[in-house]
Amino acid sequence: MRLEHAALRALLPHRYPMLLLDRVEDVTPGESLTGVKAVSGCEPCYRGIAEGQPADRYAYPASLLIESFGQGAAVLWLLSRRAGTAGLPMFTAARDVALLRPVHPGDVIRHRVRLEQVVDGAAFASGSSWVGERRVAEFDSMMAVVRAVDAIVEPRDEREEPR
Amino acid sequence: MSERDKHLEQLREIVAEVLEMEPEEVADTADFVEEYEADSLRAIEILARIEKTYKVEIPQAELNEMRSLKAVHEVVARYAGWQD
Amino acid sequence: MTVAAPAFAPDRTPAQTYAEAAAPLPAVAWVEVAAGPRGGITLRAGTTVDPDDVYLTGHFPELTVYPGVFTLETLRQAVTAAVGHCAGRPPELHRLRSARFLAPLLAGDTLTVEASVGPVAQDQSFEVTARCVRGDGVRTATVRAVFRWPVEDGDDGR
Repeated sequence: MRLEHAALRALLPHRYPMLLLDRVEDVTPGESLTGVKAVSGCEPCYRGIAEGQPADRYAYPASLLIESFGQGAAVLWLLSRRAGTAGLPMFTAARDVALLRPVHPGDVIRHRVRLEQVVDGAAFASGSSWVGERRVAEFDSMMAVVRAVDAIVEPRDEREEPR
Repeated sequence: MSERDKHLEQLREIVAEVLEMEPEEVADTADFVEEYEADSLRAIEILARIEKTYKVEIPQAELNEMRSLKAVHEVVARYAGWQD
Repeated sequence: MTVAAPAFAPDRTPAQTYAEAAAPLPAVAWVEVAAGPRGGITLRAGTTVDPDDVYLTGHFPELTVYPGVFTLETLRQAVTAAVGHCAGRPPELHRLRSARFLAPLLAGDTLTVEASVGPVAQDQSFEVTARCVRGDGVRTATVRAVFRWPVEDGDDGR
């Protein structure tokens, strides 16, 4: 199954410029997904760079690369969830993520995501990101939950204090 | 090493990895929340790793029970059919 | 090849750090640096969640939530300001050993990062361990990561 951008917008609550997935080339719900993100020099992450910086400074931010992979994992998970479970997917933990090579404007990233487990409303995904034949990142474990908006903005005096 | 000891050591390693401790620092009866500052997400992570490692399904209702290594072992033994 | 590991040199402001490399947002308002054990340093840095930031308007339109990856961005910019460049290159996030996001940061919330950094290894990498706290004292994240000044043109030889 293939998902175009309109279908991703229907699934993910993220919007410009934080919707960091352009297309899903192939997905087996609940199992695996290949997602595509084309990096462009037009993205706002390039707007603040001072003139005259060397070429390496245009490397795509690791934070956005990780988010983009995470959105692929979220799509994979949301497709296998029952309808009517509204809320925002929240990235809650990551373990052993390796950033191997820089990505630059013009590169097309392919995220290969596997859904490892869904336990008690939490999803665990793993996989890797590629530009052509080169692996640019590896993800050993990414964990996410879906939280209702009410739960995110809950009154703070009632929140359990972490020790 | 008895089956029980073997299982206990495997579980100790899983718990230590999730709580970011050394296995020898995880005491058998220490409460994860009280003594190791674990939060509910870590409990879910421990459960997820156990389910994956032992190919068992543990109902989420048991999460509340799984507060120490010894308690985790008892719960897993019940669902994995260990004769420990 | 240099024989001695490079030293930390806190020589940049957060604004300079933002202007020197691609970044989704200026993710640090202030940084303080102090000497740490074994040649390492400790840093404190902070920012306030601005709902008008262009990326945050998309995360999410119905409710501003500072994404977990932006906490990583705050940490990267704080580390860069605190350790400086090496051979003209800023440090990059090389390996995220563990990141854990515990509580949400919403519009107007302040985020304070406290991190121990280094010492620097021979391969120009250094460990960073960070605790992140919200204005009301609630811990929002813990992060363990390896940063590295690139040795060659962005290829780690794998």
